[in-house]
Amino acid sequence: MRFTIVSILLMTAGVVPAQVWELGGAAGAGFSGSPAITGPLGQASAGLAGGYAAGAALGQSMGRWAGGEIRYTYRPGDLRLSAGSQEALFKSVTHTIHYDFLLYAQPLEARVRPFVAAGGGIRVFRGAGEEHAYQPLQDIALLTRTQEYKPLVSFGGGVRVALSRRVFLRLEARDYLTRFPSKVITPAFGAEAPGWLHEIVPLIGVSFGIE
Amino acid sequence: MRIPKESSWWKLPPLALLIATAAMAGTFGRVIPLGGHAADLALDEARQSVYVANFTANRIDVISMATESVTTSIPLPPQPASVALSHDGRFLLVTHFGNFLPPNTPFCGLTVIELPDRGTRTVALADPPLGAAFTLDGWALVVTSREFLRFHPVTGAVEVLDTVENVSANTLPAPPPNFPPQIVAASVAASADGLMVYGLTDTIRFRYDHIARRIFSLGYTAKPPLGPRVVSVDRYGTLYAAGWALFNWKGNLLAQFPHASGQLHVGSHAIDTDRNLLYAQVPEQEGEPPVLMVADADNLTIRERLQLPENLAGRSALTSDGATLYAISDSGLMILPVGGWATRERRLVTSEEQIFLQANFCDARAPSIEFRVEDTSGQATDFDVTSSEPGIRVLPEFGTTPATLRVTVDPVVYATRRGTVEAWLTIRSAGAVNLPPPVRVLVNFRDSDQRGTVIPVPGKLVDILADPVRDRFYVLRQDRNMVLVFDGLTRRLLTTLRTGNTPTQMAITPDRRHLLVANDNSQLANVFDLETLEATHPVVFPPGRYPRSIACSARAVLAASRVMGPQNTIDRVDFQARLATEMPALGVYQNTVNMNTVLVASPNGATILAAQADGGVLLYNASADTFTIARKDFTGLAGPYAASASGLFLVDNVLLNPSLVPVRRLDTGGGRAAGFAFLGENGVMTTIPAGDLPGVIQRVEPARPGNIRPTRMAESPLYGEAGAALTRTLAPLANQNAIISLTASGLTVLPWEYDALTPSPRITAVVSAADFTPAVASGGLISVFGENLGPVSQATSELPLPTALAESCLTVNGRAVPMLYVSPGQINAQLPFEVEGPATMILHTPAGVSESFALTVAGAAGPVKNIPTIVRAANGELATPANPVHWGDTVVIYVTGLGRTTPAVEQGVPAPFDPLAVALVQPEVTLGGVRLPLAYAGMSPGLVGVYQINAVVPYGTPSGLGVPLTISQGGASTTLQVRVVE
Repeated sequence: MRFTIVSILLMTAGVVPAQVWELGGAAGAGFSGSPAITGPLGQASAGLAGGYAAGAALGQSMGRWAGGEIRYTYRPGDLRLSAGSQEALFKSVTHTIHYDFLLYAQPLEARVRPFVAAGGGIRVFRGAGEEHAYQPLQDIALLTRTQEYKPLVSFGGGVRVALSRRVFLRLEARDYLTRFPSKVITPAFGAEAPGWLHEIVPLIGVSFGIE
Repeated sequence: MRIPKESSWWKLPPLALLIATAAMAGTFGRVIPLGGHAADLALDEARQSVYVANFTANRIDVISMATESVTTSIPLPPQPASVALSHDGRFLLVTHFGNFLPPNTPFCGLTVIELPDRGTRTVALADPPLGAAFTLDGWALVVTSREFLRFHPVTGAVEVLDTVENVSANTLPAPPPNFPPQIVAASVAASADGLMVYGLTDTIRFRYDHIARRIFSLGYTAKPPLGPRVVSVDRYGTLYAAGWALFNWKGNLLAQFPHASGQLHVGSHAIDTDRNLLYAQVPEQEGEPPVLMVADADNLTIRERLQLPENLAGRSALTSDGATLYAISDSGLMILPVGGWATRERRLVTSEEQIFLQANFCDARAPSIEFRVEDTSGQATDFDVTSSEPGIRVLPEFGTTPATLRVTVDPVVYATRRGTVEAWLTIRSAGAVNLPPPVRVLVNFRDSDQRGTVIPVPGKLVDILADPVRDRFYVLRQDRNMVLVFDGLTRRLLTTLRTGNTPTQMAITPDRRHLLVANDNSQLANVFDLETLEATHPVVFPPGRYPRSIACSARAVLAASRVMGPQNTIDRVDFQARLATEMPALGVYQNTVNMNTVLVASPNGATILAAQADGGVLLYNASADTFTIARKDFTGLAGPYAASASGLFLVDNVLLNPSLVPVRRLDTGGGRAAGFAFLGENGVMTTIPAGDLPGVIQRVEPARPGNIRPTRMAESPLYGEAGAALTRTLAPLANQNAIISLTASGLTVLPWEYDALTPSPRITAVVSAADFTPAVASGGLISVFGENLGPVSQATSELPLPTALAESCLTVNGRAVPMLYVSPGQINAQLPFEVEGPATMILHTPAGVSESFALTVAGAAGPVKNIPTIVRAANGELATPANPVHWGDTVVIYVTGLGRTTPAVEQGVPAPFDPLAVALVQPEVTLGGVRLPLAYAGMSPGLVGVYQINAVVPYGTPSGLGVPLTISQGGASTTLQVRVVE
């Protein structure tokens, strides 16, 4: 996977030489989907509990209408299993790093520039809670203290507002789509993991232009 | 206030020990001789000084706290008797008790010493001052033989607060030898916050409330005298000790030292508010070696006894950090580092206060058990041990701490003995400062026809009561001032409840919500909420009344009180107000009863029987709300007492009809009736036969004469003693599955149908306790299945495991088998290590002996059993799918059947911690095909029949939800699935 990321970066650098760079930070929240794990003893929805997200991005302009950025997002949040009135939570954190291409609806010199973004990268799921001999809903799935890496597809969009010549306000959202992390949320014997896990992450941030 | 003059077997061993060890033991505290009779002291922590009033040398001796030596003396007018330090530390006020008769010149007055420059000012008083104490406002309360005065040390102003009545001061010169506490005969002390002052003279107790500026005075009489003549106050003035008694601020007597001798000039005490302790020397007899008691400051339960170099002789004062106690002593001043008595002083303690050993006909081995002697300071301290019984030996008989001692019983000496033998192990030391209490050893010998399971409970047990609605029963442990709350099903101790001093009897209120406890050395009855098992407001009795017995009818709560006065009475309790008052009369009879009177209410609350040791009986009728019957048909009564719902009563061995007319004397077979309980219309009675025989329990049917199925018990029931002749020792449980008797070793649990005829036991299977397969191993845990294996269900946590449990005993090839659990259908036990190969098992129960059961026992390398118990060392929890094994983890695998060990471990005995008992044949453990390095494989320390394997999970071990873990040993193996995570 490391090879993939490096390849994307090199490819991008080759296509768009000598552009304006942007460096910024953002904060927001993450809202995970809750796909179902189905087993012989029942069904439970599984995912990440809601929580804050924070990250940084390094972007570049590719002409007047396009751009690209590499982004890191830190997102702490419990692993969660729930079925009916039962719920199991397990401390966890995800680290996401990805590269997105951005297409703007307004040219580079516009003050307000809506954009759409798409790209890919990797997401690290890390179960960090304390394990105990008994866990609620353990007949369906097991929340585990371990970590696993998953390829990531990122979609999203937002708007970039120029506050000054070099300072920009960014309002945006991403949908992080990965295969379901079945090592940290392990289906119990006979249970089946869902195919995908996606998470919507709205962010607000500030970036600074560097020529 | 009065001390009961009773003789008790219980106090004999400590007293004998105290006298025997006095000459040879270490002592606690350092004496600074002052050359004169010290009368009082005050601590000046700011100046690191102690001021001691030297009564006969007419000076104040100043002792440095730092160097523990006399730094200077301040000469004063004659007879400085008490000292008080102002709260700002500026003034030391000295009273002068120079109450000389002509032709000597009297001097009664005060001296104010300005401490910064040691300047003195003297003020004459008309009457001899008895004591003084400063209050928060800078004034001093001065008590003279005629007045309570307020005195200002700056202005010299004197105000009269109140007059003192009925106090006469002693005169000088006094005949020798007489000491300051005997001459001044008064003590005054203030709380550290300066808001309360308490005082004591020969005839009055008083409290001065600084906020209200009022004196509250109360006349009293005390027998013996209220000595030592010292008042100690807690920091906030809510509690104070005066002489041998402890009072709350209202003056209610919370507790008193039993058996106090009342000497005015010997002893002292001080309250440590932070630790809720009272340090006290309150001698029980003249001339006894000096001992400092460390007691709880609420009910005076003694925690420790420390030997002093000489007698204390007046006030004690504790430093504000509670580290050091300064006390007036015979030679002058004694300095006691009480802050470290528990950890820094050489103090011998034993691991057990009572040792219970059980021999039975199944087990030919000599009963034996180990216990530890240690010094809490960690030092090597000498000791020697002697046994009061020649057939009960302890080895080694002397040594240094820490040491493990083994008690061994010679079965030959007691070959014909049945029941329980008692011995006391006296432990002495030349180096230890404390008096370690003797260890009580109880050895029970029984035949197969002796019924009941003995549950050893240490201490002096004086009453038992079954909860009528909860599956619990309550036992009074008098020597520790507590109620023991037991679960009725498991018979395990649930909790303890603190009572007043010397609790004597319990009762439950008609609403079954509260438990009341009467106390012989507290002027209150404790009240506990049975739902929460918490103490609520106690019932307060009038001064001089000690409730010894209490009973609750549907209409009234009555208490039989020992009274410091001409006659003992029955008092009526206002339960809502929690106050008791003397009944003006008992119906048409005078309210005077024998001191040894017990009350018991009928289960329906219709009546209360009062039975007196002098032979009298009285009956309170709840409908009439008065006493309706009084009779005296006997010259004396002792033993059990009980009341039925049908109107029948029993006292001693006599059944009484509803008019308390004796209708039948029950046959005790020449012995004594010890316990009785009504079971509906009928009853059960326990008796103590003459001679060294165990007790007997039999059923009683009022309409049917003669003994009904008398059955020998495991041991003798308890019996009353002088001063408490009437006792309750039998409690049928509400769940109707057992009858509990107070017996020699504690409790004996008898099945409800203890005399039912049951068929002989039959063994149908013997299997491994791990997987219920027939493959069993030496030293392994087994389950025996069958019919009538035991009369009751009983589990034990006793160690070593008993070889007789719930009246059943099991043998394999003639060797007794230690058991963990017995029930009618199953027994769990540990196979002896010595048994190997073909074996024969036989079970003995009260119903008979089983036929032989053949089995084969594997030896050194037994068949490993897959008790699926794997624990992750990382969190100490069971390895489960939710708590998976991780790479790098250490896992502890508990198994049974790993066979013999080195060193060998005795059957029924917990495996040792040092040295560890390592399996002779080491097992091999693989996980997912990867061999795990073993850190240890052998018996699990502290457990019986259980082995453990400590193994490390290497990185790279296959992971998954169900990875096979295989344990192999000696060609046998077992496999279980575990979850492994990277």
